[in-house]
Amino acid sequence: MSTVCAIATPHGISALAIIRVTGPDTKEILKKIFFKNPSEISPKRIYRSFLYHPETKEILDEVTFVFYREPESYTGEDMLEIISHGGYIVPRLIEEAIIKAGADPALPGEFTKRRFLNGKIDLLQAESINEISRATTKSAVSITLSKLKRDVSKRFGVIQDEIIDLVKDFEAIIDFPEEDIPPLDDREIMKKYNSIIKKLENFIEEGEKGRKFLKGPKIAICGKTNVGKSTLFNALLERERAIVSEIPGTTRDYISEEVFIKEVLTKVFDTAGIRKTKGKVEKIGIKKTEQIIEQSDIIVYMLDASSKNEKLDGFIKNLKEKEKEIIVVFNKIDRGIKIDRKKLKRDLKDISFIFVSAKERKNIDKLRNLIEQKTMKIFGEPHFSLSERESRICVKVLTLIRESFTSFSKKLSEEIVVLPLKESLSLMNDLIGIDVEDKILEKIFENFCVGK
Amino acid sequence: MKYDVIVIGGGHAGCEASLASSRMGAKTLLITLRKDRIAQMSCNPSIGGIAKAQLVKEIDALGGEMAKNIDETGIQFRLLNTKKGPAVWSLRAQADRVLYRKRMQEIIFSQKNLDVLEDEVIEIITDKEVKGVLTTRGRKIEAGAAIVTGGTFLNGVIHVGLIQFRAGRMGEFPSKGLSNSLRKPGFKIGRLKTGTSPRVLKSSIDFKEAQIVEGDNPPRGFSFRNPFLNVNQEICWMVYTNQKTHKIVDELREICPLFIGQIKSIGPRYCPSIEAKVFNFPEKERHLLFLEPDGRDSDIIYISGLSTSYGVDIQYKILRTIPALHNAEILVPGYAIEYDFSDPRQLYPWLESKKIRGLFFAGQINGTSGYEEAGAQGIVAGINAVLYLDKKEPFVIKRSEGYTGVMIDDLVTKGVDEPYRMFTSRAEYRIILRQDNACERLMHYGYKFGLINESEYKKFLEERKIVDEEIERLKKQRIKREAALKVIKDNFKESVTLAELLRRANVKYDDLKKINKDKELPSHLKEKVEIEIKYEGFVKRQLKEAKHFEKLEKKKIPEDIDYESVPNLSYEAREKLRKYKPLNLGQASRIPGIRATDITALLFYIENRSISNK
Repeated sequence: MSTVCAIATPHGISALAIIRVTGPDTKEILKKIFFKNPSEISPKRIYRSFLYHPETKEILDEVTFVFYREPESYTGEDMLEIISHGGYIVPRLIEEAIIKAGADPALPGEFTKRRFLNGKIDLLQAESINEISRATTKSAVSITLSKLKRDVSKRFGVIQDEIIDLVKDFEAIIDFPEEDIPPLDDREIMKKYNSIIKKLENFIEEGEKGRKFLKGPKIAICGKTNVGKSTLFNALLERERAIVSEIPGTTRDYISEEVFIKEVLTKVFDTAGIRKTKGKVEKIGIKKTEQIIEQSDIIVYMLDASSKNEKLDGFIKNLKEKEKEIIVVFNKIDRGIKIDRKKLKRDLKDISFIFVSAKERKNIDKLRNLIEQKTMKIFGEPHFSLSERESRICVKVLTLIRESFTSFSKKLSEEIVVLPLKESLSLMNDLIGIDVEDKILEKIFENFCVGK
Repeated sequence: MKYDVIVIGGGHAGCEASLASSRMGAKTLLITLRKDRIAQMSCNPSIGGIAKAQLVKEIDALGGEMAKNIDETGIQFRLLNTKKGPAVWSLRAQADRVLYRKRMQEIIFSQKNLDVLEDEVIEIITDKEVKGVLTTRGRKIEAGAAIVTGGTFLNGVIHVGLIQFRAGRMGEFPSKGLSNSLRKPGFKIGRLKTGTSPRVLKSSIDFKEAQIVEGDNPPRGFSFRNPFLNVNQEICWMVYTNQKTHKIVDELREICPLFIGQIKSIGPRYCPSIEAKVFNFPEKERHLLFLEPDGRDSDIIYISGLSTSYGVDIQYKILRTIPALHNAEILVPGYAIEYDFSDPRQLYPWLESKKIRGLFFAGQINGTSGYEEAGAQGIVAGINAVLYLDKKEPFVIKRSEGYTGVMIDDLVTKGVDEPYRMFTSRAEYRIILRQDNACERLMHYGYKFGLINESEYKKFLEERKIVDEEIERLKKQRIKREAALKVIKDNFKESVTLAELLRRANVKYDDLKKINKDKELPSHLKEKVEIEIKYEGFVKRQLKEAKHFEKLEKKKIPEDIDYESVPNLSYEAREKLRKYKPLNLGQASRIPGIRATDITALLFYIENRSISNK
């Protein structure tokens, strides 16, 4: 394994920055940039030192550093953490110096990957850490932490136990036909199926909500051209600092930013304006907009409050059918409200709406409140999150349970009914490892008096 | 004296092992404590039952003797689980205990290449590989391979109530030196317990108070040679214990060897003594007992389900509470027996010990229980002893090929903490491992090793051809909806193939006769056609899964692997892998607690290593 380094803190103006080095050559690098004998450095102690360029020997910064000896480090390898002065320049210079001293630049997520590869954490936990470093709200962190504490495994374990309990009933009938075991109670079995299916459905639903919540709800600002979408977009960004730099849309037809709306990290899209057109380029833009709307959780639809002829069009109806959360924003109130309020209210029915001036930042905070309310409505307070991999496995498990249920309802014989159930257990084994066969037998012996 | 193979012990494992090796042409010596007790049934006078019948049929397909032996000496045959699908049908037979062992003895005594010696082995002479054995009567016999099939005889101790004495079986001496001599080269020896029920005088039973259990008509046979048998069948009976029985059992807890610490070893959960049943399930109002005749003309009745460690006086008290048995006279009391076993994790999946080349273990000494489990291991060990001497690839039955494979893999991978009994739930490919297709799964091996003769194999292939052609025909031939409706009311399209029709839940092969007159197949082949068509989809699904696992099975784990240096393994996985020492990734994946991610990590490590070694 090579030795790698990376700046661990975000780029930009800050008082301090942290640069990390990990890998087998860490001690060698330590020697080259600090001119210190690594054998005289005690692990896990803070040292203050000048940091030199390994070739030019020029002093780059005065820093503090901590050395961790393998395996007692984050990655499980020798590791060095350097706390330097912040800003754009110094950390970069230090990184360059370390690379000169023999390290490679780390790939994104490499430190956690090494932690995983060195057996410090399992896959579930690795996925969680990845999410933790991306999570930026308090509730997001607590969801991820709950996974670290194996909350998911526990919940999943409960479902697995119920499946084993059901399998046990069938297996006992198969393996002990001459043992005076009471026949299967169909109603009891149905109950067990229903409970498993319901629990799994909830588990998947909540887990997926959690995942979406971690990634942040997506908000699309859309509406006709010149209704003030970009102004509103900027208005939403202004008070809270965006944490990821601007990502231009591939076809330059939209931009998006990660934005805090109150406590929640969201991703806001500023889409291309909708206008009846014959121009090809714009048509592509509209298609993109439709795609964004498709993926978004909340649609902020903008109308011009200062235009007399403004009215709701088919667009809103379309959105309602897609079961998106919609907020209608009447913009440009700084120019006076000229729309027919009564009529619009009638047309809007139960759709939320708000009057703002994006330009003068009027009522933007109220809009934020509204967005937060919608977020809570969609996601509730998720307790945990499932990664896509976990989600996929759970959905497969659910399909198998349903298949078994169908076979049971058709009164197929036990060895057929139980087949998908056992397949589901071996799938679940990928998430939480236990010896399923022994557990089934154990359950049989616990529950039935069998054997001669 | 010099032999190729020495088999130590003449029980069900020893019989199959010595017959297999001698029939494969190896000069074989069977050493037993008593010639007249070869193939003795120590416990129930019965063969087969759920999952065990599958084992017997597998022994048969490989060219073993057990199936033939019970077909000739059985006195009642019943197919169990017929209300469920054919994958879990299992044949069970009552044996005539005396005739069973006598017939097997005749086969053994008349087998070419096979000698029998009455003696006791006290030591296996080794030098990293087997050189021979030493006996208590001072014999030193040379051999290239040895198979230990000691059953419950190694340091056996019998408990009847508070009385305990050394014995291998009631009325027979134990083997004393052998397990100590195995400890010397470092074999891990443990202790297990099992039990058996009282045998009572037939004329002392009041059968009016018992329910009759009759055999099937016509009875099926175990061997592929006997789809059906022509035999006069005896009857068995059923009785139940009651509250009075349970009161006695419960009140005398303080003099029960099982509860006062006299018996320390672990007994099988699936074979609980009456005291275990009563203590563990106090809410159960009655427990089922079978009264099984010990033989056709025998005056002994075996009370199946009443195994106990209580003393004779209490056994009488227990019997008195059951109306049919209120006057029962005990001939042999029920008893518990403790014995030495060798941790089967010390074996390769072909039953050879990892420590000493050419030394094989089979049967109860590996921690199993049951005649069928023993016999299946016996034939595998016998075959492999010869393959070892011939320096050929060992013979391993895959988990997807047979219950025998499942059992041996379970034993050598996970070890045992109670006597191991076969259950269908242990097999992940239950739909494939049926008693009706044992020959399809395993007979080609029996033929290859010379244990199945040419004419029998040819006959099997011919029958197979008939079945295949018939299945093909049913899949091709279409009938109109009106015709199909005559067979069963269902939603049919315009036309339907006969196979599709047969696949419906309540349609039998013979129902097709109504609309489709064709040549008549023998009934056991009709059954095969029906089973294979009905199960086809599920079989395909399981085969696909089996194939996936086979890939893992082929990935060998290097013997010198240092799990410390495998990145990405959890601490727990590392510990377990070090302890269990799996041979390949498939085996590793079946160790309790090993996860898919651990297997992936191992796979990466092994692949990278083999690349960097190139």
